Amino acid sequence: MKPTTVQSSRRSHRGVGLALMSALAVLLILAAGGCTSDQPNLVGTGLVTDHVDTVLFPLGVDEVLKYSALKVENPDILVHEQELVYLGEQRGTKSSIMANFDFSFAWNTVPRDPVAFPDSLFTVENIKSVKFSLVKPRYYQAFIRDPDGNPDRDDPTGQPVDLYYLIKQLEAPFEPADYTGWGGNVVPPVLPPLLNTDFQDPNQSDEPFLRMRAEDFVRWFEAAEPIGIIVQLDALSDAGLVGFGSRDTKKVSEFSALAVGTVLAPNFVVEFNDFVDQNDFYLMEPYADTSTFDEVSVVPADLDGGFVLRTGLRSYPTLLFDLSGLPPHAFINRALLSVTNDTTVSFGPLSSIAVLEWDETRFGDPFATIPVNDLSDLHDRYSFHITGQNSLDPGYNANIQFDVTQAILRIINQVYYGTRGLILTGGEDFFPEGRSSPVNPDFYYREFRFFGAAAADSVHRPQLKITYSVVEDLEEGGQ
Amino acid sequence: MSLLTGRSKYPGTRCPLTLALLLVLVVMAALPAAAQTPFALSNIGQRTATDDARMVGRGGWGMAVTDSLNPGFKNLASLSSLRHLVLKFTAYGDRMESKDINGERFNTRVLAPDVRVAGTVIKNRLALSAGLVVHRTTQYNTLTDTTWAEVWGDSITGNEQFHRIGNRFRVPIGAALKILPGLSVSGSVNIEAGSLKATVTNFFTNPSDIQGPFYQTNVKETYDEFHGTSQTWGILLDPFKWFQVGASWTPAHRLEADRKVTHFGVSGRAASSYTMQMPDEYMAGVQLRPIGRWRLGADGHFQPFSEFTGPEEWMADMEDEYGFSAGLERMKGYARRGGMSNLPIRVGVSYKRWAYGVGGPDDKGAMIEEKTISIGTGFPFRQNLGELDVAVSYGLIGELEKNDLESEVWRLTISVTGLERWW
Repeated sequence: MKPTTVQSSRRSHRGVGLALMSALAVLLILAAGGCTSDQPNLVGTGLVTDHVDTVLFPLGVDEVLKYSALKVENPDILVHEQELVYLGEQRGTKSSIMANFDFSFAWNTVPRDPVAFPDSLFTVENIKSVKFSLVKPRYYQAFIRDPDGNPDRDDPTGQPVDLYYLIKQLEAPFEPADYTGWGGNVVPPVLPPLLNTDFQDPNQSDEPFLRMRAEDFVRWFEAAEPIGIIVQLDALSDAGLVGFGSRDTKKVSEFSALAVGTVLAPNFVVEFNDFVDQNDFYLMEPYADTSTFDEVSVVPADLDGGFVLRTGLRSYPTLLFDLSGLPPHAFINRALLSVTNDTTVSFGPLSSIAVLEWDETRFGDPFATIPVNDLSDLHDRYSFHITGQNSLDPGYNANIQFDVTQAILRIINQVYYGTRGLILTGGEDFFPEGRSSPVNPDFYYREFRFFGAAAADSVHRPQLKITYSVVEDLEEGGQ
Repeated sequence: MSLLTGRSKYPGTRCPLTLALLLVLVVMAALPAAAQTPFALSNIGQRTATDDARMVGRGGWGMAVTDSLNPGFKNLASLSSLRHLVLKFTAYGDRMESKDINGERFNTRVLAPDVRVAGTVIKNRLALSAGLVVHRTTQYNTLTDTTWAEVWGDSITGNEQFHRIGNRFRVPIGAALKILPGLSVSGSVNIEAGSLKATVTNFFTNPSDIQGPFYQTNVKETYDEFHGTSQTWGILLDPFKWFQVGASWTPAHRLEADRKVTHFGVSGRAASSYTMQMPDEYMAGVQLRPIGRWRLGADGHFQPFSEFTGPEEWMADMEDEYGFSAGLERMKGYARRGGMSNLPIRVGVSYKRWAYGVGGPDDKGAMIEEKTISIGTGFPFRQNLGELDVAVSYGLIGELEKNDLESEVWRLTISVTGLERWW
């Protein structure tokens, strides 16, 4: 046999061998890897003796070791800078609206600009009417509007309907610096005469125009000095705290559609018989306005008397529950913070509530004051956002439960130095709940009044509903 | 050398490339490993068939093998006749059908339990070997639909899953020496290691909402890690061309185990340790060459696990473990143009009694018996530099009446043996 033939034969055998081995390898893959096992089932369970020793054991924790009602202030939005001004009284909170107007507007140039403000303009003869205007945001409107945008008198919203407005002049313009917070606010001295002539007429309007005398306006114009106006409600008015637009209102989406040029802040609307150009009206905005909040509802100092989550004038409750009833090394399958809102006394628009871990050292005394930015702990040193809920109705949502499972797990696992409790807050901008809310907690005044630790019905008390499981071995040899 | 063809200008160097390709394929095939029989759910786990495909094909006997072209590693003393560097890789795929009173379950699994290498120091006299042997495994899971007690007004349902997985392996580093013509001895130090993880999981699937189940899942994990050393001594007598006999002894030894119990989500854990006293292990076998290419053989194995000490729950069920295997092999032929008649043919049977009992009326558990029949063949590489061996076996483990559980096992075993003159 020639050498070339031998080589050819060997190559042929190599090819067959390689193909055979490859085929077998593929066969192995198909036979073993390509087959899938049945899903696990009961077969073999008779040999299983290992189980979790205690599974889903319920523990209700309603003993609160520490409680405080933190007064939270926003230094960037003081009371006189809020987007709404409030009028009326509800559940112990009482407020009037004050606005300062500067009547030197026509005298900004000396001598006065006779073209823009001729001598004949602001005279009793030339002024057809003077009205004081306020605008309610949608939530405080007395009636739900029909598809044409008109209030449907047969469909009340539950807000005060008949309001008797009283407008008076302050002895001197109010000082905005006196209305930065709350607690101790006072109404400054007021001149006795009523300035509006319709004080005996119930006003149901969403955009009330209160009739005033031209003589008063002309007098202020001629004096060319700042004045202060206060708006109050007569006792005949329906009870309730009603918000109106202010000179700081930016969130116009909270208002229904308004006529072009409408001023949201309290303002004078002067109509002339003979104006200098084609507009017959002069709208006069205030240079300052505020809610007085001269009385603010009391937040219980003792949890037995209940606790309050309030926005507008923020008061956020903190709770430190006694977790000593949990066995060591328990795994928390679920933990719910259950609070019951007294819908008969709570009020205000829909709200978000966030729940945060809150370090015990920051509980402070029952009414400690903190800036709102303290709630935004970017480094999680003393607080940590846990959960929250949106669209909670103070007048409807009674029992509210928050899933705080992970927080309780962290707390009992001693993830942190020290001890942590919980704080309930409004939907601040820096929380997920706040990002899905149209306005921040400064905007609306609202109160959630929750039943306290001494509620007659124990299910209404603040409680942690914990469900845990335990592996016994850890109890015996845990480290 | 071309990477595509494996062709080399040097004869004999294609084999390693082909071998490497096969190893990669087999390891890839091992990735979707699933589970073995439910018998592995308890005690120290199932003894793994570490025999190569050639031995499996003839029932499992191999203690007295003296084939230097397809060496076995069951008795290291047989390696004294080596003339090459040898690499042997064994893998198998299982198809298992298990039954108990709760129903049936079908499982597949791929395992590569045995990788060995040996080299000659003095040709046909002294050889060294090392390897990795997975000799016990546990891999099974169960699922039970469960309803828990009502909590906070919630009726909680879901399932409990139990998963047990682990292995015990050893790294034998040994030497074989032919001290006299027809008499070889071996010794190895075995680094023993392994782990066993048992996981209990409670899935509380209802009630739930869009964000998932209300109740967080319980996961309890018990993790045991084993470590220790043992020695194995072997002897092979080859007094006549037609008769060989071999034996090995692994003295009783201790295994230390560290146990950690964790409950996921809980910072605390339990750490403990225990010691397992493994009993002596005896193995012996005989090979006969009655005529021509035919070989007969039988092996026996005994390990008195009744002397085992370790976890009490295991000790209570321990029994002496033993097994027998016997088979017939027609060796490969070299006839020119012999075709299929040159192929080796192997058949065999084996019987094993496991080290622990399962089921039955007694607390101790009923004895588990494993009976297997097998056939096999092999395909030699070019120039006899190795072989690809294949075996198919069918086994029955346990009896439903006796053990409340039984499994049928179909197994395809493949071994690749590569030889090389590397010096």
